[in-house]
Amino acid sequence: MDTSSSNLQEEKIFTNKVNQIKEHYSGADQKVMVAHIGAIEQDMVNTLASFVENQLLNLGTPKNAVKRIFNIVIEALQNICIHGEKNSDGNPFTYFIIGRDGNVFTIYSCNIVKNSNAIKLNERLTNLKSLNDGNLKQLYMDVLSNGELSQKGGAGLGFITIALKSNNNIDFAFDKLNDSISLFTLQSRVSA
Amino acid sequence: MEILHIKETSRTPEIILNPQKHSVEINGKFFPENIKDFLDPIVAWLGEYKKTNSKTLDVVCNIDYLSSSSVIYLKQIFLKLAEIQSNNTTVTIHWNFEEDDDDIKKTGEFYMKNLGLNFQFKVRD
Repeated sequence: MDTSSSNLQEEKIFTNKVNQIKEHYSGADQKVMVAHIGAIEQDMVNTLASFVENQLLNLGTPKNAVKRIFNIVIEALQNICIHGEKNSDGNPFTYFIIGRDGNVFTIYSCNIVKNSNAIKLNERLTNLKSLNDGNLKQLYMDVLSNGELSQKGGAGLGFITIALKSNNNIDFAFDKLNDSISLFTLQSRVSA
Repeated sequence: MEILHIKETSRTPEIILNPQKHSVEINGKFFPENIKDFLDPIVAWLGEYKKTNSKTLDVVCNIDYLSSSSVIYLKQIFLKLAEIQSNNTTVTIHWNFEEDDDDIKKTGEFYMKNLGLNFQFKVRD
């Protein structure tokens, strides 16, 4: 495959991911609340997070659930800003979507990761997903005690926070785009 | 020493460092683009304040939200406060939080236990 056709293939994988989510929210009780498809820059974090917060409050969502969702939104967006990579066309393949199914809110995010990092990230998230609430809280405290900021400004607490705030209702996937990069998708659910 | 007043933004809190009143005030949310760039001037100010050998320092925190990187880096502030305390200054941290805000409360408890600082907890009106 030449570069242009392989990039088209990459775009197809990304578009399919977005369409799968949209198709899921086609019923009367299922709505997409927010969908941002395309680059996410730091200066958009506050705009998106505040928009979500206001939407949730307007729906009469309990304050506790709004706070949990706000936490997840900030961590998911910061992850994209700090760690998101681009493909050879300079496309970041990022999205941020929140779907509502009755009183269950699902936060979807997507960005590109290097395959060399995908292996470690997969191990970390698989481990997180296997932990119960007590173990997650213990891990949070351990990281807080020993944690330092990485050069990129990450702290290693972001995914733990997402797992805690969603009662560990997290799912993730890595779809290989080519020999060097993969699409990393993450979703977490919060019941209000 | 001069007063340092950092105005609140949508992603960062208001911070007032007042050497005349021997007080530090922190009001608002923490999810800056780069927590290190935001907090380092405050850590540096506290380093200078330590040299004044004051008798007391009152730190009033009304924090609404802390992102994960902010929780981690806030340690630098508390480490500095612990240094000031070990210099014979009575440091009191007034840690005010909303009634149902367990995250903020626990963060205060964590730093109290781990750094041996004097925290006074209060539910905000």
